[in-house]
Amino acid sequence: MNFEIRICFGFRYSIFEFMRCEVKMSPTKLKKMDTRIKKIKKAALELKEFSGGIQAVDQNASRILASVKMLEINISDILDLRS
Amino acid sequence: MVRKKEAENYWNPIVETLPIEKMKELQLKKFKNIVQWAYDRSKFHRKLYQEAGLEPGDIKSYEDVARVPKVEKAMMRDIQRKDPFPYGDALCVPLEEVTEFRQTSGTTGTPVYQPDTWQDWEWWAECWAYLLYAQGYRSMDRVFLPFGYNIFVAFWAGHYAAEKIGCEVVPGGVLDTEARILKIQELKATAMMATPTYVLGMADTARKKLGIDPAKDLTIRKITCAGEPGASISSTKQRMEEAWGAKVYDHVGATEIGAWGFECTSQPGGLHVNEAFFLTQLEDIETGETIEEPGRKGKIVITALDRIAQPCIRFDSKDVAEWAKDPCPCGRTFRIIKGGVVGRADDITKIKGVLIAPSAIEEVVRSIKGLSNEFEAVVIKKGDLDDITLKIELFPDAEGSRETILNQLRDQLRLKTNLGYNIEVHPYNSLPRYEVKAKRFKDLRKHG
Repeated sequence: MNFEIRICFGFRYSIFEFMRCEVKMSPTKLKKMDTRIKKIKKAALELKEFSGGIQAVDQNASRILASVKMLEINISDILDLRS
Repeated sequence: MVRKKEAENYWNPIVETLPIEKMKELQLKKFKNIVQWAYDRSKFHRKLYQEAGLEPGDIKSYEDVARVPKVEKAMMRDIQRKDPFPYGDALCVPLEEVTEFRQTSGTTGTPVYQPDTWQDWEWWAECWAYLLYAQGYRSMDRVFLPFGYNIFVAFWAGHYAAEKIGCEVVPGGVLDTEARILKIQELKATAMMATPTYVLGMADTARKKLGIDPAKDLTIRKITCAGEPGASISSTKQRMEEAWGAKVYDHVGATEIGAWGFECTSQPGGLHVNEAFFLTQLEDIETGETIEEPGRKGKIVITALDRIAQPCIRFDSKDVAEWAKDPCPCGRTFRIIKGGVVGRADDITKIKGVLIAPSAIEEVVRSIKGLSNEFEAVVIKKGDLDDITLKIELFPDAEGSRETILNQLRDQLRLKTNLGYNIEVHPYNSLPRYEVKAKRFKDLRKHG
């Protein structure tokens, strides 16, 4: 997964400072994940659009979208940060 | 490989180690979104903000968050049981999108109803997944839930989160305590979730009625507690850990808020606040001033950043806590509240002129060997004076040391709470036993 541990500066604490680290992931991989998340979302929304009201499709697609939202919270929302 | 291994300690290594400035940026962005969401969809929120002269667009900086009016439980009670029935004007989605109903326990008054969409329910489970993973739950765990699945949210979300992590979940719903213990033994369950009162009660039942020593004869190695502050009270935590031979971890949450705080395997003497999901502020109980520095107690005002059906924005939780000074060795940048929730603003009361939190009495009682796990403190008015009685039980095998134990209890109570008590020793097993939220502190002064 190519994780990298980066020591964060700007904290005032002593010994714990060395244990306080940011696990960083390459922006490219984050971006790739975000792209896939958007594709899943688009596909689920399209399924609902084409379902013709079939509940078995609509409701299962809604559940997919709820899970997609959790992926957005975990990945996409972080990617949007400016700093 | 080492790096990857480090990352495996977290449910989401990116979010959980986010530097504080990025976390604040994330929180502000989400806070603005949820305020706008509520303003556009809920008459209750729109009225609240308009009366305060606030438009969502006025929130531009992190400091502006404190300008947004707080919501109290009583306000939710007032608007509920009306259309859209039964949730009233705080509902932000069409009724047909609500898939979950829960209600608060009603400990402090009429229960508040909580609607959730399926997305909200996924969010609940996600919050819990963060906490269970931080407490060492993994896909090889067999998790037993000795919990009466009902209208209270309690461990429902823990169940779904354990499944999400990949654990095998055993719902111990309608079984009685003895049957639950035997099922844990039969299935060799490795983890469990319960209130501290029930964790201690189960161990007692196992020993007394089944001749089972949970620490030696059962395989539970981690226990997640909720519902009461016990797992953050060191003497109660120690009793539980010794009784079960397991690590005991605390978690804090509420029906209207979500699962917002948790202890990790480093057990840093406090609870991490899940800051990716909740914007948590401490406010001075008297002045309302925001507290950023460690070591000063304040009331927790909290926002669930992604909960949509009935948003929780600047909710006055009445829980009292203080920020810890040091970060956690686990590497999470989520801030820590020292010693967990130390009390409720409602419960912290003056007795004989001394400010006291009921948890201080529990800390003393549970620290004395020979006293059973049950106790009750009752405060009354005798003339103009406050009078506090502490009812306790001795374990049957401690009767021989009765006087020594009582002297120790009096000394410790005086030392830790600065109060003198009438001590009543009741026969073992005669005080009330609780399975969920225990009510061991009774202030009868208000009722004459």
